[in-house]
Amino acid sequence: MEKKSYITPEIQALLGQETHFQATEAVDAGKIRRFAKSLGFEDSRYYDLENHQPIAPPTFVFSVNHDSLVAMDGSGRPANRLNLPSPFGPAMRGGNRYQFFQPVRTGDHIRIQRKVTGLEEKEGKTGTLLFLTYDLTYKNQKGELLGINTETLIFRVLQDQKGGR
Amino acid sequence: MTAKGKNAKALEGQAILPFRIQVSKLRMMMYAAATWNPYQLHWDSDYSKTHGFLDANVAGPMFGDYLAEMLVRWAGDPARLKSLEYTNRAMAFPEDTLICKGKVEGKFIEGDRTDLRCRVWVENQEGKTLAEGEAVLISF
Repeated sequence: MEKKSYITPEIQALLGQETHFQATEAVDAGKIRRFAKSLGFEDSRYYDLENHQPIAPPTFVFSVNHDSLVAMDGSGRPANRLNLPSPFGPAMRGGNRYQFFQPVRTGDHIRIQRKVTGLEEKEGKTGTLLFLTYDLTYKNQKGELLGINTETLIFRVLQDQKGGR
Repeated sequence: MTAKGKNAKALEGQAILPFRIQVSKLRMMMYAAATWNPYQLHWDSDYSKTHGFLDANVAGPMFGDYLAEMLVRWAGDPARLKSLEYTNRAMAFPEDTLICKGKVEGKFIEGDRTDLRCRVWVENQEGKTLAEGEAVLISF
């Protein structure tokens, strides 16, 4: 008997899809400081109280949602993030590959290109899982490459969902 | 003379100075605010339990944030991080302690530039691996 696939034509159509985003404002000192502070970092270069030109921690560009006006869905998840329809549950982060090309500075106006590169169904211990992979390419207003984040999200089929240690 | 990162002379097999931090619910909420991502799974215990999880779970990118911080602290200026790749293996929950660790696994010298390939991972206070992967540091 052929195994049931949860990849519908609608989900299959995501593969290769390209989307472009632009930050709603330039990176400022407050955004960098709040990020560093929330993580408990103490390096004074992330705060620069003297010249107000802090350097961003390396992962700042990837971890921060740069769209201040984006809508949030019912779970609080930014609506510009990829999601899958029922029967898939909430997205979980599978892993990341960060490539760092240039540090982010205050005044940078970030542009992002997202391209979906992978879609794979697997059987996990708790049931069917779908792995969705995409590249997020970050550039500044001059077109200079800041970084690339290859990210994999995992979606569980809801009736199989169980989370824990 | 070219400036050297403080660990440009690191040897293969050398351990990277670990980075340790306890992640409170407050920190998880601050991170959700600072990253402008208020996804309830990462700070709301009730929401998370309703969806089958033990509790709110620490956002996956925080593992990467802390691994990167461990690496740049240890490498010092003018070294820089070239890449960091990690897979999440298990979840962390409020009040867990994250312990980032690493080890130099390879060293490649090109002119006055030294690339260090490092294995990196995150453990919790019980020694359980939460995330693991590999990083490359350019240590001039």
